[in-house]
Amino acid sequence: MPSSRLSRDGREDARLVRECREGDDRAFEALVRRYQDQVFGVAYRMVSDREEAMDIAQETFIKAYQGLHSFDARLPFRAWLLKIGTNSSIDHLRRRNRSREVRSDGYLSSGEWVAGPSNAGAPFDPPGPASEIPENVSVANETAEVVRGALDGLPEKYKAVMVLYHMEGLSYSEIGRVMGIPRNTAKTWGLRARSLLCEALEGVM
Amino acid sequence: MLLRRHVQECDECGGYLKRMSAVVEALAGLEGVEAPDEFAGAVMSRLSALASGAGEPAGERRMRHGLVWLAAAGLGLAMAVALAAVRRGPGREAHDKLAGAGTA
Repeated sequence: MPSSRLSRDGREDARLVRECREGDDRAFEALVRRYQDQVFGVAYRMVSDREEAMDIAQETFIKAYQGLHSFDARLPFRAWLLKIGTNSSIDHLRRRNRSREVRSDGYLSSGEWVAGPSNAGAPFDPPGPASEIPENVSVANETAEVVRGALDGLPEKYKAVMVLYHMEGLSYSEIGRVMGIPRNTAKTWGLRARSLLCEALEGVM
Repeated sequence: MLLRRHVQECDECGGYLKRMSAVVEALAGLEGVEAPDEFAGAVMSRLSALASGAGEPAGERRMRHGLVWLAAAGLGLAMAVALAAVRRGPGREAHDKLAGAGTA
């Protein structure tokens, strides 16, 4: 994509990237300030922990700074940055899941008890029924709470599509670029993810 | 039209549509998350630390320093050997010449 086809924001990003490559660190700081909420937001929605999200988001910008020489400035900087952030979040979740693998006796590798043997290896674990949710919250809040909980139980790639599409407002084409997959695959993962979230609501509505 | 009527009449499909709408609404309604105020400063500090080498893991920094010292020691030893050879070389030549002249 020639730089003339970039949006106004994209051209401004390209200018900041060029200045940064010429050694102006203030230009990189401007890029950080410009995208910190999006990168932090994606990381937080992916890992559901502020401290971990802070680490992932900072690492994302550091990797971007170190990789600026290989970045093609004719392409959108935002998509490239979100690609680094999304991949870092997915890697983090995979490492976390590996370290929390439940043994057949229901204990974590760390020794903490979490579940009976029947739950070991379950790929998707929607939250409990409506009766477990406090009665004094509204139906909409209940639904949002259940969906948020179910989102945490989705496979990482589905979760990433949900976060990028619904929370960051990216199109499926942009998600495809960010995740390195065809647009139609991104769309299919989105449909599958929403279907899994619907299953989680079966006991509620 | 047919689809709309079916959804109104079929409990299963109607329920699914209701749940799907609730999911989309709930996802869209999740509040935005902003980075902490100190975020940009923290990133720039980490980059400065990396540039000055302070951000390297201690093990890597020790190894790098060790290699620098090893290289310096090797260079010093090579210079000492070269210097000794230079000093020794002409002295012996001169000695041999003198010895040759004495016998001639």
